[in-house]
Amino acid sequence: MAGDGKDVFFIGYINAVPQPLGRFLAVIGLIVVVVMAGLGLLLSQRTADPGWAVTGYQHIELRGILEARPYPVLRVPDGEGRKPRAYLLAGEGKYGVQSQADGLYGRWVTVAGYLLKRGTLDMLLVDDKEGIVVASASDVLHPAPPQSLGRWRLTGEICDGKCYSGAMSPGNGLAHKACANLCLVGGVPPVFVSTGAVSGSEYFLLTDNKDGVNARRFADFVGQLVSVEGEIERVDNFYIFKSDPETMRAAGP
Amino acid sequence: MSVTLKPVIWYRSKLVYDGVVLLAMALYIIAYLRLAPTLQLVSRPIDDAILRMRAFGSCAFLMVSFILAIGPLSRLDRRFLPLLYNRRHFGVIACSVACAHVYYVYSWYLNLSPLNPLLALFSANTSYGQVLGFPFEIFGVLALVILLALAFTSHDFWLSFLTPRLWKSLHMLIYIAYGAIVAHIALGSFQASGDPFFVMIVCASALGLVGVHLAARSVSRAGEGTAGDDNWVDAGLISTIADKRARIIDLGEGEKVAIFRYDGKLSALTNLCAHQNGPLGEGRIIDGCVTCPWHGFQYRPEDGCAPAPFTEKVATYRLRRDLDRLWLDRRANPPGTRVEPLPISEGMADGR
Amino acid sequence: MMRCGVVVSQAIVSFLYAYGVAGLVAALLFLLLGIDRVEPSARGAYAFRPLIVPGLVMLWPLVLWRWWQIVQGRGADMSVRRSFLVRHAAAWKALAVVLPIMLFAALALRQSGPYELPAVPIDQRAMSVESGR
Repeated sequence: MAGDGKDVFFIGYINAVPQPLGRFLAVIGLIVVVVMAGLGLLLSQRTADPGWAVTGYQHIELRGILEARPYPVLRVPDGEGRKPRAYLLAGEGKYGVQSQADGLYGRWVTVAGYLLKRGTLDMLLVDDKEGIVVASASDVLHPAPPQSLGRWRLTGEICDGKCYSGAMSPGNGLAHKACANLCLVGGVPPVFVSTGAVSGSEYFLLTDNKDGVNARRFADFVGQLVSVEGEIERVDNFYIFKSDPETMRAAGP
Repeated sequence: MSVTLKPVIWYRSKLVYDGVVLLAMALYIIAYLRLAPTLQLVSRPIDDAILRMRAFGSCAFLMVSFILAIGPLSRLDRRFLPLLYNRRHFGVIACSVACAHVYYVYSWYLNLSPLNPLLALFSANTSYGQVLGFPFEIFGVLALVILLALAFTSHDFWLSFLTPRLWKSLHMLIYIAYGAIVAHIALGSFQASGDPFFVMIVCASALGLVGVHLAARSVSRAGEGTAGDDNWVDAGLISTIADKRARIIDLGEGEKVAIFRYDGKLSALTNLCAHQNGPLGEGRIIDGCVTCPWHGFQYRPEDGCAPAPFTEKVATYRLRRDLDRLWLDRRANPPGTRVEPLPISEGMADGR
Repeated sequence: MMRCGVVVSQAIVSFLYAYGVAGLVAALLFLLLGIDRVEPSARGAYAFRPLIVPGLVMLWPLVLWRWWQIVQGRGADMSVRRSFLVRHAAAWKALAVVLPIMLFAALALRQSGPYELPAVPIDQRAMSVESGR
């Protein structure tokens, strides 16, 4: 028994560690250090890919008509070889821009900010200092009215439009739910990320079928896989999902 | 303790111990935050803050799991006992790592919203009625509050001020904290990241920990004598107790007695050290005193009192003998009561 | 639901602030008036005192109760009870049951997506969009 070190008695305040025990402890220490370093590397490396997105480094200025759909949307007409595009708007931090947009709906405005882009979603983060400024009317034709794509049942995740479009990496999932809910409460438009595409798009601005902007009603379902029915509309490049909250269900595995 | 209180008492062994713990922690964090991202191909990098909350969160979990494993491991193999000696510092470091995790969650997920972050913590997610999407943060809050309370009361002042009884009760909350941490991970990270390797590590740690505790329990039972019903219980043969060591007798309901043999005499003390309930019977007689294997607290075998200037006392028990057979009175004396040691006559002393 | 949550959270946060302020006052009082009287080992020792402030603030009701008890001269029961071993064993038995159930349930409920569940057209117009693709 005495030879294998199991019988050595250690007293912390006596500094000398008897030898067979010292070697054992050194080995344990080394194993702990190596295992921890290895685990750190492996666990971090296996982090899921957050997906490609343009993440808001580019400062741009856009001119277009401000619409309430019902979240503030900037319709930028075609020109200079571009197709007409619609941009969702949000503010800095976890805020929407409803208060800045109020009273400007239907008018030509200039908006400066940072571009987020993911799939068919374009979002402009309005620069707090420059804000939304009324611009002179243009002679370009008015934007096309929304086109209905009928009623669908989609399965997917409710996210906040800002984090998912590229402001956070990753900006979805249940670990992110509290953050997403705070964004929605602050007025950031919710988006529905569908597992199946409709007319080529998997991303939808999520409203309810009464066109309300009360995103709180979605709060319990944010971040998890749900299925829900509703009508889909296309506005230029982007899609609106007017969901029926009564049909919302957690999707089973 | 009755010597003057100091902020931290350092020994070389403590410095080495803390050094190894800090090194393991630092390498984990560096590998997680700096090394792994350079070896990874992703469409865009993970946010620094999110990577940090994952790194510090998982690190804190692994550390707490390891800390809780030290006790049963040292019961299974006595060579782990030195790890127990400075467990307190290990715990404080783990609590700091958990705080770093919270800091990044707080400043990234909960900040910059119309609500004050502390208010946001409790009100952002109120889906208490469902399992998926349950506000798992609340389990994290519970665990953090407990870890903080334990770290804050880790100084010896608290042990003496609150009394060992209250202090120990407070520190038993670590088991609730561990359950809360596992719930926090199971309802949060498991549902979000879905990395099977991480899931495996968490399950293996938690279930492995339960496993070593149950194993240690069965081992400590197997090695001890058990008592009868009468006030005087059979404590086995004198000749089978090694010199300067003890035999532990289980009186049932968690009450254990350590019978020490030293200098041709026998004395019985409770098996629980007054400091942190270390198993005195697994210690030995050093300089004429029973020495606890956990933190080296000492007691005179004949009266259970710590030698001056210390003031701890433990309960003593009476012994009598019948030839080589030893009998123990199961009725404990008040802590510090002197009991005349039972002499062993020469003929009996050397068991064959 | 969230509105109600905000009211409750507001109450929790106000309570936490009040508790913290009371804790600071109690800690100050204890360090100025109490500690030398209740803890003989603390006499003449000052360097360790900042270390115990967070604990005093966090556990102030307990601190005041112990302070009162010691001033009243009620002998503290310093003996360690055997029941700790029983409670320790009980805690691990409970964890041995709770942890596996929790982990298993969490894994069973996991929505291990992303699934490729297609969008399902419901009305005529949607079906024509579907077929036009």
